[in-house]
Amino acid sequence: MAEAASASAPAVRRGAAWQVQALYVRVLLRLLPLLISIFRHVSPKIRAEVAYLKPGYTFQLRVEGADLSGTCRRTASGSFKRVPPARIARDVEAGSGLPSADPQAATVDYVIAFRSLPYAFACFSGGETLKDALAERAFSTRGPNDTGVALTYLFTALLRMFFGWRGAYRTAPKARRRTA
Amino acid sequence: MAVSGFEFHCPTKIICGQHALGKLPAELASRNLAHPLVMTDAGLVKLGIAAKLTDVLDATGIAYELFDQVPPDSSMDVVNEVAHLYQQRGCDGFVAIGGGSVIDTAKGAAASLSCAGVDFATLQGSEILTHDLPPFIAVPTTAGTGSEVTLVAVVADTKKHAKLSFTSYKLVPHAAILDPAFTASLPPKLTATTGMDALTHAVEAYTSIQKNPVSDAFAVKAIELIAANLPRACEQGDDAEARTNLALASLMAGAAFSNAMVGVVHAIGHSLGGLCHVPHGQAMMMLLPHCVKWNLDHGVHAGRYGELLAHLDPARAAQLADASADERDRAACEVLFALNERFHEKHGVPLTLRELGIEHDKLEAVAKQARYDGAALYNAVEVTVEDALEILEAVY
Repeated sequence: MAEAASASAPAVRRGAAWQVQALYVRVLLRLLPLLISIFRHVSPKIRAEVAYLKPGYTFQLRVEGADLSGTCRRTASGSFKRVPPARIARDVEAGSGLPSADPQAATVDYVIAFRSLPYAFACFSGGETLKDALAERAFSTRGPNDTGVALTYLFTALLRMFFGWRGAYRTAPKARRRTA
Repeated sequence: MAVSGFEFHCPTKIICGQHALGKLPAELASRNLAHPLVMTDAGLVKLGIAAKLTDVLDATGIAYELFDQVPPDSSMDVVNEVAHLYQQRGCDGFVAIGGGSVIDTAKGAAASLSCAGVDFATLQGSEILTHDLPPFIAVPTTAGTGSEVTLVAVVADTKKHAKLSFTSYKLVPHAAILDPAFTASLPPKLTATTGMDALTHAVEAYTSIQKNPVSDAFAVKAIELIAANLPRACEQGDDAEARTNLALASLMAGAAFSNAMVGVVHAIGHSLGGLCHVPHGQAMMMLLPHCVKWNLDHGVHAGRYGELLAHLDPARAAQLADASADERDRAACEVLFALNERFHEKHGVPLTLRELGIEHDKLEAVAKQARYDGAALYNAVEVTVEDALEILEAVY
């Protein structure tokens, strides 16, 4: 009996803090397309990066080890819509750029995968900037680099709107620009 | 000082020094490599440099296949062609002898093979590879790219006129052979531009957002070796000591930037390569001092360049021992401009885009592409199109 117990997978124990963080990130991933769609009207910076991404461009945010993900597709009008998991192509890897054999399925152009929930939570709650997370290699990516750069600029602008008051954003280096 | 979270990875076995090439057969045997694919380019075959390596294999009876058609700006098509050849001929590992293009093409093909032969273009991004590459030995013939120890492969997308970067810890070669015999015949102009490429790697690694104490140590030592040996190697090509030190500096700068990444110099340089076909080392050389000046003028990396002065020019640093951080920053920038001037005057290395025949109306497209280059993300501040254009105008 003892042998059988040790051979089975260890039980996953997740504390209350983990559950709260997971819930927070899940809600934010769900709201993300809506937030981009709304705030592109407010921020020229977000608008510019949305314009860089072609209609139909689809990105996915994932959090490894937490079974969390959100997929968003850019529409022709520049808004973003959530892509339900059931609609995502399963015959090609996300971010590979390969076409799916299923014409109804949505292929994912770019994936950002956070290495753990605490990293994702820190970014989505303004505890650290996306740039800090990049410096720590807190996430991996797959897909065309140029659109990944545009997404990073977009998310940074979006997160700054909410968390610009937090230390991570206030102390981020800025270039002195000439004023006209 | 608090240390931010970081990762550092450099598993390459380094075989360095005069006659290091002689250790190749033993190295192949230790990796059970009986039928390698030797990768090189037509220029190295013509100059007899590739033969130095194949002669060693012939002398020890090691059967190998040869692919000697890697172009200066390698492409996805070449990568996929090499992967196909490797499978078709039943090879069991790679020996890449050449500059960055040869080594990166071999990395691309090896990565594709590790993923059951998929198109390399589908692997763009970071940390996608999960399987180890086939045995891979890199033998650099320039002291610049550091590709023999980096996790990066840069390959051109000829359709989009862009240079694409692939990064993964799995892309780091297993062994690197640094033998001064391979760089002794490198002409002064190429020695200067590739050496300045290595210097750019070290300086950008030292100022990147991903810098860390380990990458800093590699970067600083690389800067010291380059500053002391690059002018010497340009003037006396067969100076084995200077050549060995430069090869080592290039490797150390490679290890630094492989773990700290680069920044605005590379972002603009990749665009100049993709859109205007400016050779990478040449682009780095022209851009480095102008980007450092731009950063200082805009309050970016204040104090940091000055920290490098003691390694770039110890005598100047001693003179400025009591100077302000700003003065030391500016002095480091001046040293970089002076190095370029020296190579321009003594060896005719072009210092402007105009000298290279680049049309002025291409600058805007270069600046736009630079903003969305992967290296731009590792710059401390966001690179706007206007910023990149301002730097390009200064280099024009």
